[in-house]
Order: sequence, then structure tokens, then C-alpha cells
Amino acid sequence: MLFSSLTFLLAFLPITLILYFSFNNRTYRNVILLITSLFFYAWGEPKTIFLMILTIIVNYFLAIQVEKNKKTYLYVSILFNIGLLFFFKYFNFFIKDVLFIKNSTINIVLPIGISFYIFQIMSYVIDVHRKKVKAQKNIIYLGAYVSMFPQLIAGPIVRYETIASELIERKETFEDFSNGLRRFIIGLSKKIIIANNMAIIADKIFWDIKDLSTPIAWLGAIAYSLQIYYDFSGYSDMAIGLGKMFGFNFDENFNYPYIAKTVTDFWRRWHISLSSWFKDYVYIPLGGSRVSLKRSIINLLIVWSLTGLWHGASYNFIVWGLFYGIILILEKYILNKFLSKFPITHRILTLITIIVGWVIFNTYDLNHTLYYLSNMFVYNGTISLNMLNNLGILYLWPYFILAILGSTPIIKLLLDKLNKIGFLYDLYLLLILGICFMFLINSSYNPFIYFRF
Amino acid sequence: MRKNLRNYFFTFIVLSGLCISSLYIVLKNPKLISDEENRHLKTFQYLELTSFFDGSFQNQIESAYTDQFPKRNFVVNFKNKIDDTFRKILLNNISELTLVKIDTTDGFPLLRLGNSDRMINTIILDTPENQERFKTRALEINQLQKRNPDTKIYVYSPTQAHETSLFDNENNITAGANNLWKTFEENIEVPFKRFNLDSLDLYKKAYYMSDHHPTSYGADIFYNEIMSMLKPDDETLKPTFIDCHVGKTFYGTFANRTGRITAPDEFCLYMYDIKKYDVFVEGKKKDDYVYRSDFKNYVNDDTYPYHYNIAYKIYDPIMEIDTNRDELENLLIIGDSYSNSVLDLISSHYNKTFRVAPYNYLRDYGEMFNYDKFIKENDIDTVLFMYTVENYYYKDIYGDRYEQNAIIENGGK
Repeated sequence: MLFSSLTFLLAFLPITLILYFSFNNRTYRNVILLITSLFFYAWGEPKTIFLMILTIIVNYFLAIQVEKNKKTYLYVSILFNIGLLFFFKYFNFFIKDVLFIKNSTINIVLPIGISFYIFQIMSYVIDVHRKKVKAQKNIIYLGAYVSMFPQLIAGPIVRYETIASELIERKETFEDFSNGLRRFIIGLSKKIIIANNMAIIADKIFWDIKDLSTPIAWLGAIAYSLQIYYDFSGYSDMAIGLGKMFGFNFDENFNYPYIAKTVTDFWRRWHISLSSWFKDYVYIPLGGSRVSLKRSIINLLIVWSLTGLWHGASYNFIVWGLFYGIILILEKYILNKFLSKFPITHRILTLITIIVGWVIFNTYDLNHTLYYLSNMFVYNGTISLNMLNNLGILYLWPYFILAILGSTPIIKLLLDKLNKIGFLYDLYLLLILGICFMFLINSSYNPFIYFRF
Repeated sequence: MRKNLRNYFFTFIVLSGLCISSLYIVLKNPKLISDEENRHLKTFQYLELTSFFDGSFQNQIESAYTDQFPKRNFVVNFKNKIDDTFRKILLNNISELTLVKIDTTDGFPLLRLGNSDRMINTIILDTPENQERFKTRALEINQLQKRNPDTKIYVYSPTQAHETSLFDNENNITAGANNLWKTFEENIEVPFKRFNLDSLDLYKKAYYMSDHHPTSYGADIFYNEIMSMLKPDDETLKPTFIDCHVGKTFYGTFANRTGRITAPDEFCLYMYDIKKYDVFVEGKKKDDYVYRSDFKNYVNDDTYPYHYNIAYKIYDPIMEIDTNRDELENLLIIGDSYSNSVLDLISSHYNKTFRVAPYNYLRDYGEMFNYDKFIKENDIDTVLFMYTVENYYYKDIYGDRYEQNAIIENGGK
């Protein structure tokens, strides 16, 4: 089930809220949260829900043993979790594209959100081992943490320590509930009004055009950069908002990444929960930067390859990860010294690097990547309003401008001013909620279109 | 206190709005058919385990929520208006009459696209090559007539909007087709008529907005003009009534090509008192042929909406209509889909009517259609060329329609 669906907005959310707040008891509320979260997941993944339940049960028992200083169980847990992730996400890629064994792939359905909940539960077990948190003895509470629907499908990756106390003794205040609802609406509008419309532009340019001109290629790349930002940050906003409604305080996951001064800064602002996960559970255990230069560079490359691979099972993602790894290394050890004297140039180069990175991320193979990038950087062709209209994307220009403005703190500053007036801000939120519904209804408008010549 | 009031008010509005909407949608009597979308609307179904596990139940629920949402068409139309407004802000010279100029040097293929409400094709250019093609086609028809002196040959052109000068002023162009047809007319020696599309009003009545085919009104004009050429003494059929079936709208090929959905066209058929006839496709009797009179009996099917196909039908390379009246003549129509709209009407004046689409024939049989052989073998008394202007000159990366329709003596054998 998606947050940006009428089923969620009109059925699941109201019913869940009614059930949840019908009980005053903490345990009952956690049970409701667990059941509704499992139902939420099963709605989209009716067959693989059992995989998640199995993961919870196995890690529940393993964590209890890990807490007793039985390190073997930590390794078993890591192996089990990585093994599951490898099988469901990477097996076919490994067989076909790494070992080049033909005709040996099997029909595996990738369960939605597996990367998120596996990483989440791994962090829990590792933190138990590190004595950062106590093992959760109540399987319902642990299950509620892992499966919690606000952040199950698309993050943020919530560390157990962030909400350990809230699982047991959170306070759901009306103010938090209302503010959470507001945050949810903001996230919903980012996804539906901006991200989905940027997707129309990006998809058209990346997939439908045979002869790409340079301006069109840049338009597509920028549109995709905006799409992925609003999609992801929108989901994070919705997750944080929903969490707040239920009394949880999740950490922020995005911080205006496109105003980053450097690529390093970008990764402190983008998908913060993922980069901090890799820092805490891979980079630092490998030695981080407290090792020789050579070792430190290798560590970074390993982390970034894995970061790329986490996003998807294909060489494009690995290349994307390594692309950033190399850039970050160059920035840290060479470029910063020089570029720090030219902050504006550095910002522009950072933005170009990010956009190029998204092109690598979005293209379907390396040939496509090279083709697209060559059209971006070797000038050819033109752009015109008629051309854009012929592509069926001209009418999206207001959303494009809004997306660019919204990727900076400008809009938020304006909205904060509006918030001080109070009801105007809420009126604005009601308006954008209405617009979201308009888009949702329109997206399923499905007239018969006759396909003859 | 004030902040609390604000929070209560806001939360109450949002949550009550969601709950009331949900209950209303679930409890109201469901709407079963959308005239605007021309399909059955999804409704809520009871849960079945198998459908839950394969995901179809979930899709059904989501579709039901969107399909049954109140004032849905208003919302869709409102959004379309917003999109159009945004478009027109940048392209403010858009009017109903604006052509879309597709510059092939940009590398975009020639497609049927448009940004105006009335969809029109690309400009037809008055080039030396096109001039030559129109002239050659006229000469080919003349030669066919000379080789078959006992057969009467006629040419009818169902003029489309982009062939006319209706849009010249608005777009600061001179439509090339007029000159090309002038060349054709100067060279053709058989009776020739063009549908005189001389006003935008007529265009709006005679053609669909979202499709390049004629409406029943336009088809009736074609039929009468053709028969005034072929058999001026015959009384033509008159429409007895107009049938606008449930699911009475559709989005034609223009909507498909643009990817932007225009407003739907109303889809109605004129009914005529046509005697029953047999239909043969490639020599075999077609038992599942859908007659015009069956139009009103059909239930709108999401996958295969017969009402559109009753009018336009998917046309085979060779089709025969047999009215079993040996006292009448045999007719050969060389036509494209435009001939579909008048086929049953014209054939009511003949014994056997054959309709051949030469480019489809070439596609399916791998050889050029042999006009001479067909005329002789089937005792053709009259040949009518009735296809659109594209067949006289058009080519693109997908093929050369002009060449595919070439009239070569004995099929080039």
C-alpha cells in the first residue's frame, strides 16, 4: 500500500487511527500498531509478509542471546539478514551479471522495503551487541518497531535507540498529532504534486526520445534529480509526520541537499539515515579514517560500492556508488584545498556532479549512461516551447519552477511566516491536500483510447 | 488556548473529511458506467483469498475508490483546464486553428500530434517531390482506366482539415495541399470529387475532435457525394435515427498519439434501413461480422469496445460485401479506414462490393496489389478510389504509403 493512494488516505489511515486511539493501554496500542503495520505490508506484499515475520522472530531470539555476550549469535544474525537480502535482491544479479552463468536465474520477487527493514533490524542487533540498547524482550514491541508502517516501505532507517523509550512510554499529544498531520500533508504534496509531475518529464526524456538534444537532456536530468528528491523526501516527511501522530519522533532524513556546498556536504543532507547507517556499521568498523591513507581510501570505496549496491542490483548502481566514492575521496584529499577558495564555483560543480550522479543512477545500463551523458556534455540540438509541447510536458512548467524553489529553504521560510498567522497556513495545507486528491483522482482517469493507426 | 483551537479545528476538518468521503464512497449506490471514459467503472468487491494473494483485490479496491469518487468528472475536467491554462501561458498564440509544426531537422519523427483542441495533422508541403507524386498517381489511375475501358473509375477524396486553407492566416502559411490537388485535378481524366471542407463549423461537425475519422454526419456527406458521382439517378439512403449508445464517448487516435487526453467525442451512429448482406474476408464468410444495426445491442467492453469498431472496423486487406442482387453491378473500392464509414451504405447500391486496402495487401501478402487482375477476375464494373491524402504522397521512417499504393500494370508481373 502506498501513502499516496486513496486506499491509504480514506480507509487504512482513518481505521488505524480509530483503532489505535480507542485504547489507552500502551501494550494494546503497540499491538494495534503491529497488526495494522503487518496488514499494511501484507496489502502490498501478501506473499512475503511471512518473510518479514520470520525476520522479526529470528532476530528477536538472536538479539536476546547476543545480549548475553554470545557473539556467535551476532554473526548468525548478520549472516541470516544479509543472506536474506542477498537471496531476494542480489541472487539473480550475481548469477547472471557477476558469474555470467546463463539460464540459471530463478523467479524471485523482490519484497518491497526489504532493504529498509533488514538494515533496521541489523542495526538493532548490532546495537544490542554494542550495549547501546537493551534487547527488547517483548516480541510485540520489537515487531512494532521493525514493521511500523510509517517508515517500513521507504525509510527513514530508524535506529532502535531512537525510539526504544518511545515504544514503552511515549506520549501522544494532540499538538504532536496535529503537527504530524501537517507534516504528513506536506510530504504527500511533495510526492503527488511535485515528484509525480517531475517523473512525467524525466520518464518522457529518459525513455521516449530517440534523438536527444543537449538542452532536453539537461532538462531530463534536472527533472529526475527533482523527482527523486521530492519522492524520497516526501516519503520521509510522511513517515516522520505519521510517526509523530503515533507519538514517535523520527530523525530528519533530508536537509535541502541541493544547496550543499560540497559533495561531502550533500551526503550529510541526503538520505541521512542511510549514510549514517553505513558510517556506523561499515565504515567505522573497517577503521574509518583512523587508519592509513591507503586503507582509508579503500574503506571509502567499499562503503560507497555497498551504498550503490544497496540501491539496486545492477552495475549502474555500483558505478553510481563508486562515482561518489571517488568524488568524495578527491574532494577530501585534493579538491577542497583548491575549491574552497571559490565557493560559488564549488557549489555549481557540486550540483553538476549530483545531477550527473542521478543520470548514472537512472539510466538502465552503462551504454545508456554514456549515451545520455554524451548528449549532455557534447552540445547538439535545440529546445523550443513547441518541442516541449509536442513531448506533452510543456504544461508542467509551474511544477518545475516550484520544484526548484522548493529544493531551497525559500518556500519553507515563506511557509514559516505563514504559520505565524496560523489559520492561513492551515488553509494552505487544506488547499494542497485538495490538490493532492485532484491528482490522485485524475491519475486513474482511464478513458478508452483507440489504438488503431 | 488559541493554538489548541487551531489544532482541533484543523485536525477535525482533515480527519472528518477523510472519514466522511470514505463512508460516502463505500455506502453510496455505485456508478457502473462512465460515459466520459467509455468504460465500466470499478466497484467494491468482497474479499477473496486468492484475489488478495494475487493482488487483484487490492487493485480493485484502489480503483473502486478512485472510480466512485464523487464529482470525479468535474475534478478531471478542472485539472485539464488547469493544464491547458499553464500551456497557453507559454504558448499564448494557441487558438483552435493553430497547427503544430514539426521540424524534422530536430529529429522528432512525424507523428500525429497537436496542441490545439481540434487535432490536425502535420502540414502537407508543396514540394517538387509531392507535386510529382500527385501527378503520377493521377496518371496511374488514367492508365488503369485505359487498360480497363469497360470499367468506370472514379476518385473521391475525403478532405481533412490540414489540407485546406482554413488555418493559413492563423499560422501564417499557405497550405500545400491545395496546390497539390490542383496538380492532380489537372492531370486526372476520370471523374474526381473532393469533399468541400470550407469552414471550421463544417469541420467540427464532419470530423471527430480526438480522431481523424469522420462522424456519422461527415460519413453521410461522403456517401451522398460519392453516390452523386457513381449513380446520380439512385436514391440514397436516409438516416432513420441516430443511436448514441451507452458508453457513448470515445478518445480517438489523436488522443492516443498526443498522450494528452483531450475531451472525449460523443460517439453516435446514424442508422439506415440497409438490407442484410453477407461479408467475406479473403474468400471466407465472416460469421462474427458486426453490422451497424447491432450497434445498440453491444455491451461496452473494456478490452474491445465494439461500438467504435462497428463504425470503423479493423479492415482486412480484401473484404467483400455481397447483397445477393445479381441484377446490380460489382464495385471495387480502393480505400483506407475512411471507406469503413460508408462501406455498407455504398454497397447497398451494388451486388458485390469489394474493398481493398493496397498497403495492407502488400503488408500481408508481400506483393503489390494487382488491380487489373482483380478487376477482370471479379467482374468489376466500377472502381472507386476513396482514401485520404496521405496515400497520395506520404512517407516516413515507417514506410512509404504512396509507393505501397502504386498502381502498376498487372501488379508489376
